[in-house]
Amino acid sequence: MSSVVEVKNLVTSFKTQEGTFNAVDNVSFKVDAGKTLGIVGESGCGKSVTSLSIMGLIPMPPGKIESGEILFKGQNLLKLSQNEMRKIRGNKIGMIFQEPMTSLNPVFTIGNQIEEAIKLHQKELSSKQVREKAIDMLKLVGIPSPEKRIDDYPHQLSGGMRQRVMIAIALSCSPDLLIADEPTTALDVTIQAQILDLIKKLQRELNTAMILITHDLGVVAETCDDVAVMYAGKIVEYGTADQIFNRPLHPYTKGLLNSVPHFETGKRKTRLETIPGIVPSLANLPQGCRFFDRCTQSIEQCKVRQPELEKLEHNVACYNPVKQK
Amino acid sequence: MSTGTTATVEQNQVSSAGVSLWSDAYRRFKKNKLGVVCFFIICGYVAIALLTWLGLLGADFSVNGPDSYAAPSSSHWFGTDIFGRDVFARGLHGTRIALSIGLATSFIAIPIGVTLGAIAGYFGGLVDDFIVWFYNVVESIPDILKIIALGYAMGRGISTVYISIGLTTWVSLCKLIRTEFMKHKRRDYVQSAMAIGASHKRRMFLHILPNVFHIILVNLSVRFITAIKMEVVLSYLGLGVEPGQPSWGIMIDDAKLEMARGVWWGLTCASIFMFFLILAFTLFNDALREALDPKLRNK
Repeated sequence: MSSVVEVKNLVTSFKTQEGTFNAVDNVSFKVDAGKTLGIVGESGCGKSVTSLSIMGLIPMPPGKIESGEILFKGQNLLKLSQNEMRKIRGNKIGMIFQEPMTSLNPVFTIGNQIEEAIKLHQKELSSKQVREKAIDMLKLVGIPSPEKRIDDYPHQLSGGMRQRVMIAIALSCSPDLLIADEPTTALDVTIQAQILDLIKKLQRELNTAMILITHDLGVVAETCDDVAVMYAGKIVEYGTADQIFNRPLHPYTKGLLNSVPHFETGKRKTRLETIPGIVPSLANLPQGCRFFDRCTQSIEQCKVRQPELEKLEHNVACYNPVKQK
Repeated sequence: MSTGTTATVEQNQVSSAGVSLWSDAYRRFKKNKLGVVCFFIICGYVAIALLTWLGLLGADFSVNGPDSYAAPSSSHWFGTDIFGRDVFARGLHGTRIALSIGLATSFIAIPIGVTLGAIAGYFGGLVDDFIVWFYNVVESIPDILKIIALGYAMGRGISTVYISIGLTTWVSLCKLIRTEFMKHKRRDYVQSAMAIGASHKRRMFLHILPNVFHIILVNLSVRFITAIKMEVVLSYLGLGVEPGQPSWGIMIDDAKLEMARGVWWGLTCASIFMFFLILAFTLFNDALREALDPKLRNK
């Protein structure tokens, strides 16, 4: 099966007063139809910049895509003009944002906003058909009495409802690729589960490829087929969810998994494990491995040269990977 | 998670469909009694302006009467002027001119201010630098000098007043709109509009503009006050509407000579008309801002 989206050696840089930094450095991955790739990592590791690069929404300047290819169904998105890109955004690639509370325009009804997404890309529909389609979308994302709700303003809906509307907008043109940038971060836990279920269900129904960006490992475990772990702009480990969760190779991935609190009854509470240190600033990255300062099993070589992704059991960028028991 | 949970949907919603921000603002505006009174005073002025324009009110404003400078009486509430014309009728007609100036200058200044401000704030960078430079240059010359210069260049007349005030008073609105656009273009909703494939123009004028529209509305009301005062100043300086036209500025200008002869009614009539219109607009403006400004909400 050919991939819906394939990112090859993507480098995205930002120009700041202190110089130019690569927020995303030589990142490659691919997603097949109906599959979900989870991109995990701490804040500022380049997850969102990766997704914005695919959407062509990097503010330029200060941002710039230095090199690489983003192949969307075989077509390099980086070669497209603004106009051609606009026809793809919202139509072939949908995006769900982190903040449902602020991502809807407060002065328009939710109906207006779903209809706009449809009208922008399906010009042949009459306004009556567009409205019917918008109501269908609301029904699809599980909003009760959509015929009435369609004329509501965003401020009349709760966070979970608004995220449902955002999903309706993102899926209104049945995109081939859905990018969900921390879709549940701003929601409380019970709603998170509902929204994730909804996204999964719709993805299965529409056979959409999905990139799920999150720092919540629980979310990844529940929804993703493949996982890419990012650290300071690079992918440090890339494999199936099973490989990453059950047989992590990179010390960072292992550290991340260890720092998830475990709740087991009958056991004494232990201190939550953390990864010591902080993410290095992009302004002064070490010469060698970017995780060197925080790594518990670094060796001499790590200090000198940056490890690249290598195929061991699965892809990992480490000279001294975690030994499997 | 089962699909059963998916179907469960958050209940406790604010019910009733379609309470827009505008109807919310209207509801809050209605609570402000003073604002409502002022709104009706303004409506009264608009009615006077329309009726005089149609010739249904104060039609005798340019009819010369037999007595020059007759004191106020029951037939001439504010006396007569040098040609024996009814001062009150002229005051009524002054309303028409004052409001037409407020309206016409707004039609010129608001599109300029909004467009330039939107472009500057939205695109930023060099475009912004250029527009900021441009309005700083325009602003560095005092308004009254620009208006006088334009007035001399175009000759005296009401269209000169429209154009000269219109072309000089867009800067403050432009600045306001520019900063609002800078603020809004980074908002999430603009980014999500981008993500559904909306063009720059669409984002600027369809997504952001309605969100800053209240600023334009409040500015419109302030603009009327400025324009009306400016017309009076211009006419007083002899650059405004042609003499003989029933403008408040001309009436006040004429009072220079009249006051020496103890004729106080021309000045009084024009001042009273102006006083209540400006007062009503000022208070209405405050009420409008209170109703529209989200920061002043829920008080």
